[in-house]
Amino acid sequence: MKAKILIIILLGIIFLGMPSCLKDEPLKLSYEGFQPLVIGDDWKISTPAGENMDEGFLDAAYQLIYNNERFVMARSLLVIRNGKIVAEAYPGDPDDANRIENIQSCTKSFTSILTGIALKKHYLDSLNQTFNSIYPDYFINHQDKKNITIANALTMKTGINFIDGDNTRPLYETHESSVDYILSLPKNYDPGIVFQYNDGAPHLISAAIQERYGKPLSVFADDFLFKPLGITDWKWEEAKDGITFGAVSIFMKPRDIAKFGQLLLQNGKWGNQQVVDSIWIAEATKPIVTMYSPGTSYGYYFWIFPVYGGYAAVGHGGQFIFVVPSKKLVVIYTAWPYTSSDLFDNFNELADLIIKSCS
Amino acid sequence: MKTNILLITILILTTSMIKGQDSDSSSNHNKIYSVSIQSGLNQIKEMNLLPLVQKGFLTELSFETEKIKSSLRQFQFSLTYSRVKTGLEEMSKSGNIKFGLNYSYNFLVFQKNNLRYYLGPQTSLCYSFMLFPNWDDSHGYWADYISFGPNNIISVSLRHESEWFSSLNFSLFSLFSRPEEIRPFKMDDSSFGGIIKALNSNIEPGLMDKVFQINFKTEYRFPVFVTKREAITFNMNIVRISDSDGQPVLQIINMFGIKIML
Repeated sequence: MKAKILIIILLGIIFLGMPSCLKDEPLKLSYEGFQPLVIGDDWKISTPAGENMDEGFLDAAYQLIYNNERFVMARSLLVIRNGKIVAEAYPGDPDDANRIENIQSCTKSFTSILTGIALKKHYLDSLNQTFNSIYPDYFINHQDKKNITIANALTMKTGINFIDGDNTRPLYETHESSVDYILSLPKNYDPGIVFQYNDGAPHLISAAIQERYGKPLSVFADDFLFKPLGITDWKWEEAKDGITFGAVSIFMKPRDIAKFGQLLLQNGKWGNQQVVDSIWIAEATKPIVTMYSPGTSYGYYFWIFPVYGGYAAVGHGGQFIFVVPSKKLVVIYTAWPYTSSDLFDNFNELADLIIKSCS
Repeated sequence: MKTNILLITILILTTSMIKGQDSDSSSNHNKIYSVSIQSGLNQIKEMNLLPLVQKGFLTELSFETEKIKSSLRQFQFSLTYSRVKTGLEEMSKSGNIKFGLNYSYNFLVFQKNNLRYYLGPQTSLCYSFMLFPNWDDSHGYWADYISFGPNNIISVSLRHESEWFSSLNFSLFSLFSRPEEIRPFKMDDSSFGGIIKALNSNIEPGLMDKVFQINFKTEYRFPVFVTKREAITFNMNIVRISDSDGQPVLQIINMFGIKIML
């Protein structure tokens, strides 16, 4: 009899245990508007009305990142107009405002701007300069690539078959020379012919600036870009041979990313200092490569959107720095940087709403 | 599922083929070797990544020894594999591999009629490695621990050489390893050495507030041949690990299976 009771107890435990389930929790905080944070930094704060913006469209944009599954990993959305933060929210965690995070391929646009600074300061001679002329030792075993120029790298036309899905991790992990790793990949085309978006080309530029400046690109960036903008909390990863990744892995706070966008909008001027040559910004952000996707072109590591009259740095996770000079508008969207591209495709939807909000 | 059925069939056939080869297997079950295959539901909530539950079908293979004299000693080695996904994903790309070792030394503290109750210390070592490439295509996640705590066993002998055998153990003290919540680097080191190093990094000690681990097993053992027994098993394992800095990971496993006593 006791055994039967015990068996009944055990069956009860199984019966109760089987349906034991973990529950999903909300990915986002509840939406409470987009009032910018007052944190006492350099940024001026304003309102949509104060900057001639339609609050309804902005509200729709923020509703989207809070409630739509396609923005599932959203971390921040900042809208800056006329140099003032008009709207700002951190849907996942308010601490994301103060946390540096990887902006992934938005990094490429920083490398573009740094290339302009390096040219202006004569660390690089010209866009037609070959990498072979800067670090010839790397080309001893790769003579077929000695004609690749800085311009080829800036337009993703090196001809080297660097495939991001396959080659980025080895570039990250190699204990040998990261430049040699890129140059050892097959050459599919002669330089300057075929556009192939990849993480290798910006790395060649990073190595070139390091070779000429004598310090990594991250230090060059700190000396000539981050310090002038007052950006102090950042990180930029480097390969195991000490060469900063030109393509990825700047870690920065959203408001500091916004400073970069605002610098572009101000044609390279920050306060009284011309940090970047305005001619370079104009050159880098004009359509140079026509893309197969309609309405999009590519400049020097910037995606160009003629339909919006703007350009953007775009990174994994759907992140972007969107600049629309005619509207005096900068939009920063950051997200968890490691989400598969199956789970994001955000740019146009957000850009449409925010552009519409600008009178 | 077909693979599981095939494996179970092979195990049953193997049992009959090796009948009479194991000198330790006897009707008094002094020393029992067994293999089992279990299947069920794996639920993971890795809060360092996202607060959504990753669910999926799980398969576990295990090898177990049980030695009964004045005490009952158990040793188990298990390997678990499952594919999991959240409700937001259409296809599962995520996975969880677990490697477990468990040893317990149990004293007979109560015996009456056909009921025996054992109590003793147990230790569990678990390496649980998870990949969620849709959510994080650059980093691995893990929840590893070695824990120490009590083990309780109730055994009820039934008619016809059958037996109901249940155990409940939980951890009191553990050493555990979890990834950092904020990983300021794009990629983990994916080399074998890098993975091993990661799985044993950030080791912290903790009591039940840090590592809550409870494992309940019950099995109905019954004879299938003259000197052989098999068992139908149910296993429920609940783990919650929370380190000092990061978010917790929670895992609930429910599984049924069959055990072949060799």
